[in-house]
Amino acid sequence: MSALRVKEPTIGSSGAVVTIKVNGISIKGFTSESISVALYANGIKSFDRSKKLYRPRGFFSLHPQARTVTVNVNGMPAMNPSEIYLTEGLNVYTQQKRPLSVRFFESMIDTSLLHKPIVKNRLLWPIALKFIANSINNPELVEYETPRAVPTIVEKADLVVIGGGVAGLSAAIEARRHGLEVLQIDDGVELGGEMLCDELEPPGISEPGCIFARNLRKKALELGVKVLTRTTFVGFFEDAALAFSPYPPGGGTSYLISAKAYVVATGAVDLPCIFANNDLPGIIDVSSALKMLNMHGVVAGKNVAILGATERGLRLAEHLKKYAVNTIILDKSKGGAGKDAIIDGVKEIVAIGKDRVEALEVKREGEELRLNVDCVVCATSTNPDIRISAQAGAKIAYIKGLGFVPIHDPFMRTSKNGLFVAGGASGSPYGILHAIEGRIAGLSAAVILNKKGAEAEREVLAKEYGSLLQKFGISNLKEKVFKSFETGVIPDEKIAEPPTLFCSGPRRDAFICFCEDIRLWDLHRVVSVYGFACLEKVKRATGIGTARCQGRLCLVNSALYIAHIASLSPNVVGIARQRPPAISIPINVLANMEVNKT
Amino acid sequence: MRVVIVGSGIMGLSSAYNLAKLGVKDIVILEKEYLSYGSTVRSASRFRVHFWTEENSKFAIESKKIMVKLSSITGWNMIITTGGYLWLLFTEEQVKAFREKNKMWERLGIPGEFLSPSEIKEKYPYIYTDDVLEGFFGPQNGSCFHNYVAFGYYKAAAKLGAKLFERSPVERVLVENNKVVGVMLPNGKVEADVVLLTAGAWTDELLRGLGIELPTEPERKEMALTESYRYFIEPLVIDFGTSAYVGQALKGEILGSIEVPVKSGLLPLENTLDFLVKWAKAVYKRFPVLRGAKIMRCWSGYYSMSADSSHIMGRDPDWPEGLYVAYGDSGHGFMMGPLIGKLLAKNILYGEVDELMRPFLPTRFKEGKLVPEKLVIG
Repeated sequence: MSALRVKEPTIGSSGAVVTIKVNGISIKGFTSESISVALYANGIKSFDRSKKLYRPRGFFSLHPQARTVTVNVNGMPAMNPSEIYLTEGLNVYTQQKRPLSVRFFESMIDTSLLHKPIVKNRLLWPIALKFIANSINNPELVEYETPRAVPTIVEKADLVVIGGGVAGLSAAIEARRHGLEVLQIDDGVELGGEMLCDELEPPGISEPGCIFARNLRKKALELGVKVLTRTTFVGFFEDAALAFSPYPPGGGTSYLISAKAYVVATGAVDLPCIFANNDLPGIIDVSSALKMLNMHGVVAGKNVAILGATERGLRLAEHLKKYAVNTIILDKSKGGAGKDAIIDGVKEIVAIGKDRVEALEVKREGEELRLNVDCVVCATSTNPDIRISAQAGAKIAYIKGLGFVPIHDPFMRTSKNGLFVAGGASGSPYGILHAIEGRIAGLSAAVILNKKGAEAEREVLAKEYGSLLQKFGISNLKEKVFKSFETGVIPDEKIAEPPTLFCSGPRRDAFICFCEDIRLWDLHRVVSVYGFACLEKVKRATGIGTARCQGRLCLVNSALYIAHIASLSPNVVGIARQRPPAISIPINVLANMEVNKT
Repeated sequence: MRVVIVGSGIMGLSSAYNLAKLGVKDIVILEKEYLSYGSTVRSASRFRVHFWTEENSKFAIESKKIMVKLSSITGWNMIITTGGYLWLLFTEEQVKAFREKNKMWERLGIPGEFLSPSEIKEKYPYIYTDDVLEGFFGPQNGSCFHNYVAFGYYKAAAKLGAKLFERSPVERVLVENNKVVGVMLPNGKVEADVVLLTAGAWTDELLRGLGIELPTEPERKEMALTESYRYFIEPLVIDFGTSAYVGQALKGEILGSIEVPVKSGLLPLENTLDFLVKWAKAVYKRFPVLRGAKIMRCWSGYYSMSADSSHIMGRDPDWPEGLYVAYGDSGHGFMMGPLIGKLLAKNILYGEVDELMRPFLPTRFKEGKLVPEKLVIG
């Protein structure tokens, strides 16, 4: 057992111990965990080198769509380590070396290839070109025997629930109770979502979150909800909807989905905090820290700094304390001090470390601190996962306090017919709200399918929902969403500073995009020098949001940062258009599909 | 003199830059969404000189000369590569037709090279060539970074005084006494002495508002893109059998498209799974090494197709005075854009019709002097 593993995994039934090889060295892990978790548990935090600057990179989030690092698995390049689960004898290679030749060309490739004297020179450019192409750290494609393709599976249902957390399960249960055929799609190993990782009692719920989630799951399965796990809903094409399960690795299974209604319950995304060297391995999001601890029995570190004294941040600290982990919470706002282990009024953070985070230098009013930590968890803010709802065509608006949300009414209807949202994906913060929103969304689906009694039940629930929103103090925020839905007017929200920003200037070492090595400095220049303040244009000038994670981790931070420096409303800056597929699909899988089957 | 340019794609921006360079102080560019929203930022960002007609080939040769100089003109790195275009030919007729055309291309100073399947294999070992009869390689062709071409032109034009107004959709062109006097926006009118329509696929509607009918219509095209891999596909490979094409950007993404039957008109800019699967099937067969590559994103844009698949530029003397167009480029407007802007600026200011431009005047349709371009890719 490695130092970070504190207990047996609690997930699934197949927690067998297997041995895998990482760069030729054997390590042990469980079949219930992904390569990312197994490597992290064994102290391997750097998986890859970044694209332009060859900086060490580990995962920021374990979510399969938050794919910022790749590893070579069994000779297959560019595989997602958070997507592949352990099997005996798996051969994993991580990239650790940095070619010497790169150092010279680094200066040429470090800024989206803009404005360099050499590139303006027509004679020098072709020579430089060759070196630049070779200096970009992309995985090399090799020919390998792709797994035998599984024929496309056609799935028909009345309602498809995307996401299997508390909101999704609640929606599925209500819809099923009213006789709808329900298909639930979730990318986790088992249904339950993030609440499965909560051993404490969430606000408003009188039992531990994991038990609450398991009970919901049990109920959904008893009612006959059809379930696809380890499967991602890829998106809405004009002629079809598609889901994809990346197993076996290198190939996968594709599902053609047809349904009369959809509930999007894909949860929220933890936004990376922006500070100097925030790309170092060992800096992760709060949902991954919780997942590793409560599903896989792995603590994120021995000395953990948590950024943000938010409900989620404090909850993680409470969990970690049970396993004798030293935690310290850093927060921007003032007045948190007095409580133990909270440093308030933090202005600037610099992470220090060679190939992993080893310490933090923290600046607060009148004082500079150095904290020795082996893990930093970002918990300052989340944003609804809008990938699917935006792609479907639902209107998105920025509401201060909730983030970029698909606007909806109290019945969870979005501006797109037949598409409902619930839970974190609609901007709500607490599990108890996710449950009721899920139920309302499930009933709304039943209503549009003319199921008797659903409308009356929904009326009752909507009242209860209203008073719950009041109780948790977010009723004024949600009212803004409802009003925007009703009037079609997008509010003019202003922000002073992105909540994730722990950086005073446009630093060249504070990363906003981990895939393409785009820094605050790059964004700042595009905004201040070129005067671009619309995210679509900034995206095209810098490449932000165009790489592997498809903007999951960078777009919201970018929009808020641009709004901040250009003194605009985030609604003016906008969020870039979302397009399918939500997760990358290998060519061999698509080539084996027959679309006209439906 | 005030020139109003409708549309901020490459046509509008290069025209604006060239007009400003020739001394026009008052240039207003109106864009319905954001800078270059339409087709320019959705293009495959390639340029070529090999066209089926002499007129287009000559035009493209001159346009390329400007394109490769753009980095030094605008200060933005256009990331020019010249990996060439490789056409894979499958039938005797195709080979014969290309051999015939190559005589013309040789005369124009842009000779291509015929490659046998084994020569292709040697040069590009990653291409499956067993069913290929012959390949035609055009080494003069290449790629550049479309976004920086657009932004570079915009910045250069703005520096010379041109003004861009985004989210300003032009509803119609205003005409008085057979002379354009301005354009109408939802919240008011903009006066103008000259109106240049460079709105790509949206130009038809504006012309129709003036009672002008030209044989053009928008056609939606889709594209797909993989994740980034080490740069290895230097040329743009065009499979003449399936009409699929595949190329790689310097940053590593492998992109391409294939023709799928689609209704013409301004269809929503969505994607179809049908397209994605067809392209994947073509790539699967032609590039075995790409079978494990992952498709990351797809998008769509419009080709503004004209009846003879060649662009339309300039004006018809029967039109209201001061009205000019540049559109109908049928998928190769991006590469022609730099020269179109340059020639059009002279045409607008001095009434000069360059010899290169003459074949592409809008009057060619009623005069029956078409430029039938067969080499349309995608």
